[in-house]
Amino acid sequence: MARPSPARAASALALAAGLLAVPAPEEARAQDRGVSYTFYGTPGLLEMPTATSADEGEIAGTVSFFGGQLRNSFTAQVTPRFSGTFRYSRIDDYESEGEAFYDRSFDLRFRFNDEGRYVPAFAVGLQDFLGTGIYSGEYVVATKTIGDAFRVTGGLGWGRFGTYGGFTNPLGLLDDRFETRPDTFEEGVDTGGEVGAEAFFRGDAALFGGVEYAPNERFILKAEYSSDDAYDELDGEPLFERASPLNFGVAWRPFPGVQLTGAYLYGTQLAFGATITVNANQRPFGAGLDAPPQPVAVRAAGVAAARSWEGAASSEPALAASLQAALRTEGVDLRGLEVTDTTARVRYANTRFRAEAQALGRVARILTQELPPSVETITLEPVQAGIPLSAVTLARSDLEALENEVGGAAAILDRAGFDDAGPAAGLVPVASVQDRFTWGLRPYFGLSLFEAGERFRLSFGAELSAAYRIRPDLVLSGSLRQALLSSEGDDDEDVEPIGGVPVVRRNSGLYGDDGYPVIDDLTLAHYGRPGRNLYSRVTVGLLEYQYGGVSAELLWKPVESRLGLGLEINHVRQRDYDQLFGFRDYEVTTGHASAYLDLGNGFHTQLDVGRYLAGDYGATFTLDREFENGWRVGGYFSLTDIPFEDYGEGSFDKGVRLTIPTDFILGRPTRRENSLSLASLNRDGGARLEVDGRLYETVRDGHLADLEDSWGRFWR
Amino acid sequence: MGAVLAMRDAWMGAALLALAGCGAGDGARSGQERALGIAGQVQGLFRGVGSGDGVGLPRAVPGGFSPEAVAAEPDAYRVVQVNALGLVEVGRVIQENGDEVTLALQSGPTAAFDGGVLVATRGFGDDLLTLDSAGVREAIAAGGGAFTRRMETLDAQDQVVTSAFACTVAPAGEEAVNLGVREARLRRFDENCRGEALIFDNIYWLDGGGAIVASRQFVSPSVAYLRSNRL
Repeated sequence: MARPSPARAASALALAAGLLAVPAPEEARAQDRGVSYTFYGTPGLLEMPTATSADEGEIAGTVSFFGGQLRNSFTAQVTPRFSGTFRYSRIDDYESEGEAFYDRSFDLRFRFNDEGRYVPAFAVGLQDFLGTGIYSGEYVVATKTIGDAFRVTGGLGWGRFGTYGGFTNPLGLLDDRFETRPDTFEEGVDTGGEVGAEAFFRGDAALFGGVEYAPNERFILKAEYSSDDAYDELDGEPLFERASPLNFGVAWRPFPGVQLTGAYLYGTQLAFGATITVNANQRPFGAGLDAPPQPVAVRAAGVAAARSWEGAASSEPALAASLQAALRTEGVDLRGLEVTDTTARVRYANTRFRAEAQALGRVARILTQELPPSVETITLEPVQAGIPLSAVTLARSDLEALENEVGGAAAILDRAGFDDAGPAAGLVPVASVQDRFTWGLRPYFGLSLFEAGERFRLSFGAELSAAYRIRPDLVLSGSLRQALLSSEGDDDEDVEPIGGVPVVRRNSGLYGDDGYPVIDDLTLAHYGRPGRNLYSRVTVGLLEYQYGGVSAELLWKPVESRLGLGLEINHVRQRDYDQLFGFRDYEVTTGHASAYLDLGNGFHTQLDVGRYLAGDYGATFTLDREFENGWRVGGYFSLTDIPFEDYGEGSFDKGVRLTIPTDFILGRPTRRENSLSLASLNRDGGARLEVDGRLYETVRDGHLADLEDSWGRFWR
Repeated sequence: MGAVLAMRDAWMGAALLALAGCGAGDGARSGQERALGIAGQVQGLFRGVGSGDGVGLPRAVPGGFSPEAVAAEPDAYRVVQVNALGLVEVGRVIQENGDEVTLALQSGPTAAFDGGVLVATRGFGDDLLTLDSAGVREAIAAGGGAFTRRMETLDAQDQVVTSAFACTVAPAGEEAVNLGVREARLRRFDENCRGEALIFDNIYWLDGGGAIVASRQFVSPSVAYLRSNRL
């Protein structure tokens, strides 16, 4: 589905070439211009929020410091109106002198409408709605941009936002209950991590507001009236002196994607913040610096009508050889070929392009150059992990007609046929040119947050990885790590189980701690196609840093379906702390039944139900927002039958994750991606085995939904 | 052997901001998530050292770009100039499907022309995906006219975006044009196109037979104009 792309101001080069740029009327909405971030890491003023949203797809990381509070936040603008924030804060001297307090918080904001000529934008937000509740507050806010340079905001807040200048909650008119705010978190009693919904919009409310002035594109001057007076230590003593409710600050954007903020808050505090933004919708290298594809060769009219190909049998090996050489220029490894008079079936592995649709297009172009003229129907079967994923059937005449035509991509998608890959029988196998043995040595950087007993651990070292492809679908691989630098560990004592729940993840800090090289993983993996629409995987060996054993998986996923169903069973034993070949005593059988659903509009959801590493039963729900260019941001949570009190901090397992495709950053085609995953706490409940190469991620690339998403790259 | 490293909390914040880590293995995709709570493995863009997977091969353009090759087959070459990118070089025709000609530039990108009208480029990054050339060609053949031009590009989400431009073509007399190896007296046509956010001007020089011998045509905002001419 085509989406209008915002026009960009002409570059200086283009201007020099005599190009005039005419700004389109009302192209940028008023509320989208000059959006800057608060010290909480959300779009807004300084400490107060506004009813503005960042550009869709923008992800901002903010670090800010004042008054003994260090806040690290990630905000993702998941849709044009909805954003979520994850924050990890440190408050010095919170509990007692010299003792810092660490806090995690999650925010949500939803903007109801776009600004109109006279109508402001309205938004509602929940701050720190999950967790220990130190920053908890809710608000409704309205923002109006005036002219080109001014913006005014006013809002009503509850919780923290209602602690200065507060008055009886106007919602008390609806129900008396709203007038008091219950304490949803009792230090030492509650374990945090529960949604404090019964407190939402309750208690005193207060007004807040502010103005922003942007003299030019780089600076925004801000002044706000803050209704937040809850900067307190645990015992109620203020963290700093609050002399005035007025805050003043400047946001400076030296270049796009970076914002630095300095402010003078509450009449006594100097505050600093830095924000870096990245946006899935702004690719630095345009569509990429991919080497150009081969042009389509159009057959001469008379030749196309030929119905037979002379010398079929003897020429097939020669055809396979020349086709293989041609496909290698595109990073495509030919695996099998079946040619008849009028049809050709080509099975290949794409090692270069993130989008299989792009590889399809490139292979199709090369086929028009290489295949004998009588061949009219072309079937392409992409392979990954040694197994064919699907079969896409194209008519050669369509390729010839639609190469450089407006609407050509949509037209060829319309005419393409999609089905499961055909049988191996009939396919003449072609020896893979992929090196059997590959290896790599690269640095790794591990950051461990929120580990019980320590707040974070940092490690840096070298990772040596190697793989040996016994057959394309049977791979022996492993990686070895040597830590070069590592922050001090707490102690090396064994971790005791809590509430009878076996220790399955809480001792993960003890792994790889001895300074010697450790085996991160060492596995033999086999992939198979047991039947139509069925995919299988068996992995044996040291599956992850903490467990070794056997993992088997079966996936049912028809090519044109948005739904996949899977079953995974693992039998594993906990590895020794030295991460070599030894094992500890703990052994468990885990497994999950999973449902994968592509909801459309870029939303994907997954539900796994089964037994986790600690022997607990439960379910994990995952929701991802995926962008067609490969970016993914999402979160998950797990609930199991382990009672909340036994969990330790954080009542249920939850986390967020972000994936950025490497070709977005580098501008060159590559299938690699970078992932960042933040789990909110380290615990034993709801823990799943981390095994590489799970089927759904591999298989979905070659299926209709993902092919359609990036079909724009077919002709690229 | 691990050294003790005292880290400030601010580094943790900076690490959170850093684009994160990498999967393992060449050509394999793996997002590793650790239940440990490890935030990520910031390998960043460090590719380290290692073997490749051995599949890729460079592609050679048949014929090459040596002066001898150009002299031997002048019809198969064009002179190409892209001022915005500082390119002045020779392009070789690698595919001819009737009127549709695909040119491979010496530095890598390709450009496709339909009857002399640029219809696609690849390899510039900000490429012209494709364009509808019928309107331009008809207007030139008729000696002038107005029509709508449709151009396709890819947006940041790999979606095809079609832009429409209101264009007019008008004759602009005759002039002597330097084609590199010779000078020729050619008829000039100017095309002016206006769209929602862009305005550009293309120029075509035609020979006596009505074929476009030289041109300056718009590609995209960052590539701007591509000039090409026959030898």
